[in-house]
Amino acid sequence: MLAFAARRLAQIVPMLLLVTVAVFLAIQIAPYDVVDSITTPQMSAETIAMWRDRYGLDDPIAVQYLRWLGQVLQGDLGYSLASRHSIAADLAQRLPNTVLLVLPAYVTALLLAIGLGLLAAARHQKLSDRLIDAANAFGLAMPPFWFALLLIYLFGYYLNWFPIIGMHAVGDRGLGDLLRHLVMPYLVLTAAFYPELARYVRSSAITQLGEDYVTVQRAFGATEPEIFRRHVSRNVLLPVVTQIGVALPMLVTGAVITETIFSWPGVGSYFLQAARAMDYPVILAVLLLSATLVMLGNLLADILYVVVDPRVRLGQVAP
Amino acid sequence: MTTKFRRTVTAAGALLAVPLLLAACSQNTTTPTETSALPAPTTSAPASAETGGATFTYAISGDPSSLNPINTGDRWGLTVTNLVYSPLARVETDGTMVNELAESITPSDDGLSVVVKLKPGILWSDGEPLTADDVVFTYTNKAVKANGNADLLWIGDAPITATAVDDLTVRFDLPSPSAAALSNIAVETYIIPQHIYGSVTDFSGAELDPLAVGTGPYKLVEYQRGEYLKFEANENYYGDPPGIPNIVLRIVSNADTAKAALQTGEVDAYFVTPNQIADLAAAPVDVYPYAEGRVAYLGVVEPKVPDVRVRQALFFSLNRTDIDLAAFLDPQYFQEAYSILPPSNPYATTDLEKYDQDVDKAKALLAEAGAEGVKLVLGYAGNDTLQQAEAALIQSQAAAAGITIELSGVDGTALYDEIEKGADSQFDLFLGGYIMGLDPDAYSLLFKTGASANYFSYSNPATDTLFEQGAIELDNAQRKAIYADLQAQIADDAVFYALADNLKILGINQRIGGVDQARLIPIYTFENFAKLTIK
Repeated sequence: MLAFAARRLAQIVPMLLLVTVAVFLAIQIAPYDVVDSITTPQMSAETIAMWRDRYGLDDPIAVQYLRWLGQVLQGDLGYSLASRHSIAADLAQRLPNTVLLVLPAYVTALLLAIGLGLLAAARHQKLSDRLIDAANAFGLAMPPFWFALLLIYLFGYYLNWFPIIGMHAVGDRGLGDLLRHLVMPYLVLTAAFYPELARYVRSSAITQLGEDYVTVQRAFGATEPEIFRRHVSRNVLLPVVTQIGVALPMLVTGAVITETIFSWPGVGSYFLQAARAMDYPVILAVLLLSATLVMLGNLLADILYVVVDPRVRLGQVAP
Repeated sequence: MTTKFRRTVTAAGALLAVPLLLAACSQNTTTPTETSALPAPTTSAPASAETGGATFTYAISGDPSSLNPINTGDRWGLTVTNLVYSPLARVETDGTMVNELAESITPSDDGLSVVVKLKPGILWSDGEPLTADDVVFTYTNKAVKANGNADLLWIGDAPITATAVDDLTVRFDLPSPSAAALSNIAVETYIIPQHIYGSVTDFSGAELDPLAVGTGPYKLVEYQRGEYLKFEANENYYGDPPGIPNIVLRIVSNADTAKAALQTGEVDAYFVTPNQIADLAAAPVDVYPYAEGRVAYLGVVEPKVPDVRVRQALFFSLNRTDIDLAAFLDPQYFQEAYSILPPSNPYATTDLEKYDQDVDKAKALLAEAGAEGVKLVLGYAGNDTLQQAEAALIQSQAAAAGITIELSGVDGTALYDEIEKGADSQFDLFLGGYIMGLDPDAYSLLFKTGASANYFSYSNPATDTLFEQGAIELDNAQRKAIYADLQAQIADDAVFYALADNLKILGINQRIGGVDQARLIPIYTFENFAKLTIK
């Protein structure tokens, strides 16, 4: 397994290079650049040319890319062109904020999905199944930003229970205050993550229920709860465990819209702002981080698969 | 190479051109520090005993692009600068000059120098006295082109220089006579302390260290990037003590969220749009529409529509009032504009061709030009709902005169990139807006041949000559006459159809008083936040 992991890790490097080249080219194709987004009619042509020169935007694309790559290889993510602030420092401040929001929401959604998904499968075609399935479909169809606005109206404006903006009141770094700010974005994200997971659990449980081993268990006189607890749930949870690996990048970019709506100072709102301004070092840094997590997440998923299912072997041709 | 500049459609210029006023002053005590503490979920925080009541919270749309007064240029950067620092003087929106740090400002008769005497006894927020050296230091560094914001301090290819005559007197020398420079020299440059920043060699960065020491009414005490900036009253301020001890600029990028926060009282003030106002009726919020001196317009790329009669025909086919109402909803939220200068500008004239709707005349002009059935492409910012409304109405009105307009909604920044291609642009017409300030010379950037923001690719030697005459004419009445001719000339050339000065609308909680005294001004929101009070 170590050899497998090492080989996969080695593959990450060329893939990351490809990703960054593709993103870099896409940014170059855009009809304007970061200097365009900060200039004003009052700036002389000379001043604008000076900024463009200072940022190296007049250099050939390859030169710009290699200069960026050289920096990154030395562990320097560089500076935002728009704010001239250190990207590493900004990320170090914002990443924990995003994790703080996404992680509890994802875990909640996952637990809910497993519970309700199995319940729905056990009550297949009965009322509770139909209700859960309908709720899942509704959840999938509901845009998170719209749900967020509903929550803001209900809990923020109408009931006035929770603050709407940000993660802290000014000057208050207390836990209570943080939790009050966390409630609404947490609910939005949970609702955003839950339906897909629940449908996944439900459908795979239903599939399992049709398997021969379930029939055999029934023939042996096992009760439905026993069948679920001892057999079906294990087989359903195997693939669910691997979902966790795939979800890894969400810790960085899982809440772009939610963060923006609630002014949550995380990576998502930071990324969106940079994308609007064509602030390429920021865009690349966030995507680099996110792409790395995608690949590590996939690797993790593969390894978890082996861990939880002894029938799977890594790197070998099936006999 | 033609440089490209771009500007987002409206916000644009916020910059400098606006005269402001200031408030400033000094004081000692803490210098602001940038806290970068993570919101670690530790229990119980040292809540800085914030009694929400003593704080004015203002929702702003994003982080300031720079907190460095030498080079900041965006709306929120300038707002912060105006809270913490002071200029020598401000120009009011009616063109009168109000002294801030300056006690007197005396231009010489030959227009080549200006002597500024400072008020005695002004202190920085750290308790040190303000001197002429600080002023010289600030102007000298701002005039360094590498610092990125030197344009206003250069005339032609030479900078304006500053010299300390004595402790409280500064003389500015102009390389050549300039009416614009004479009226601008003392405004819009916020003075920074030499004793704090004297050792800084590069002022092109977005932040100074320490973050801010100024003579303005407030001190910056905390900056949480992406969250808020917190200010406390500066006890050394030279003006009346601030009426509200704390000010918070809270960063809220989503308009719906900001509106809801204004409704609930989580923020006290926010710039609202006309379509949000109905929702505020039930909340304890007053709305204050005011002019920023913006001009929203329909522009023509001249080389794409070379026949002036076709351009005039298009303008005669339009109904300005209807277009403005479609975009801005109610006459109380805009003033109709007819000229390149906003209606509130002291130099604005109404003695020009206004192109009141006349469809028959439009058809006659088209026939005369042999351009019946002409087809034009109108580019606009596709995500801007105001421009969507304007574009749709322009299309239908022009159709009545036999002009076919194809609409093309694109990214706002990309739009400017395209129209700067001039004759090669895919657009014949475009929608835009600018805020260029009070001095009419600033508008030469838009309409002089080859100027940096001449999106129209407009070129008329007569217009250029008038701009040159106006820039150096020191007699105000003469100057007005020159700019009146100039506005009439550009109107006749029909490359620019002014729509309106659409007003900025501040929604503000009724618990806040002193809004009239604090004065709403372009870009900086309030001339002096210190005049606000809590009722």
